[in-house]
Amino acid sequence: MAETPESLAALLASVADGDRSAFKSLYEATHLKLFGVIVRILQRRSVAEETLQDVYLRVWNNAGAFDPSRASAITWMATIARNRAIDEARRRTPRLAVDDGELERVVDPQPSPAQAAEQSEEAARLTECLDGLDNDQAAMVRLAYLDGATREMLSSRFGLPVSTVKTQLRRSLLRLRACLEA
Amino acid sequence: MAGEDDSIDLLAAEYVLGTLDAAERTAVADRRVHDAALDRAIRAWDDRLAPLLEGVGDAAPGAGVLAAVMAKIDDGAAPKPLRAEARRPLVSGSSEVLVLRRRVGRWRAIAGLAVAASVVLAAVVAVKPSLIVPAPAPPDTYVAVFNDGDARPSFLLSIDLTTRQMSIRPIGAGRQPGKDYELWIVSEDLGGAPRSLGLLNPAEQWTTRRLSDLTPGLLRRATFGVSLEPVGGSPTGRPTGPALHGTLLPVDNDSGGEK
Repeated sequence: MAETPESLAALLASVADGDRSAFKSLYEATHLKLFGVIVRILQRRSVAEETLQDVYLRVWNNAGAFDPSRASAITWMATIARNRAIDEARRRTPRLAVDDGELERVVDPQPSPAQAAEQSEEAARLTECLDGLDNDQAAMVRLAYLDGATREMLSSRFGLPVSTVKTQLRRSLLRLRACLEA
Repeated sequence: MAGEDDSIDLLAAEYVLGTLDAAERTAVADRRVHDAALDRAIRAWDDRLAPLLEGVGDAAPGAGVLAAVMAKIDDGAAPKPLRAEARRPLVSGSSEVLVLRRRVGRWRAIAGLAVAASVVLAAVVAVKPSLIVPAPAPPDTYVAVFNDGDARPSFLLSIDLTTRQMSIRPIGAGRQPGKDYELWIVSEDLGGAPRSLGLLNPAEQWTTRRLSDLTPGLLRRATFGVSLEPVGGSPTGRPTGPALHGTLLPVDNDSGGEK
């Protein structure tokens, strides 16, 4: 991506002032990433494209709320995209429920060494903390967060009762928090 | 961390992770509006887990998405055109408002906000028309100011009934981190339930909409409301946060009375 974190933040600041050409540049620089986040969760392109439109309208309307001291511009936008995609997935459940085969397909591999080298400090730390969990438990967290897997989908994929999935997720989240704050 | 804090934090964590079902998710989104501890916990979990998104690969959407977004922006969300001409009068007008405390009960009844004990008691404020508009006013323009006594925020809304162009901006509202202002219209002609007119631009900016699907008569009689919602707007399709409301006043009426 040609844009640096600083230039994306500057574009967002211009967008907050209603600058359409800055908005178009921001779209060009970020839409592949945001669509990647959304389509991975929603699977269906038509639904994902509608959601992408909605996400950029939110970015246009809320650019002034971006706080560069809290997150990078791309992280801020990707978080909006993911939250909207999850909202949409839950709203459409069970119509959009991913069957087991699909879930199998999208299981997230560990980041490649090249990807790992490009990771931010925060991502490296989170990966390290996830690596501290059991394999299945780390996979559950990734599947839920990145692929929008529900407890029911995880239950079917891992052959565990839903209540056990819930307990394991909570335990994993508490361990992650402790690890990240250590 | 104490048990109570842990349960809030786990709820926030599961919300951010995305593993709550639709009803639980909606309940948490509603609750964070009133529950600062929950809201803080959600934002902390957003920050904790967001780095995972770095590993997600790119994907290309269809070529029409940007054009569709720009069309929607042109259709209603463009703040630019009205900003310059309307800013000046606001400064002189805002200090001389007449407070008409009324219609609070009506808004609450119509909007069905009985459960929202934290709803801010709303007051309708009429701005003396001559202060709002420097020149003789076009007769088809109506304005309303919403505020809560001396407390912030306040909003100024104006509608040109000929073009059905509506503009609204906050006055001294400040930005609420993690929150959006959402505009609502309530009219018997729309079934009496609040209908969202979309989110307001953050900060001191104009938000404009062309309300071409609503008749001038309906607009003149309607009550408008602004509520404080989670980012992205009300998750339930109805106002969930503290609300303010107002009704329109014609700017060509010297009395400043309610139409």
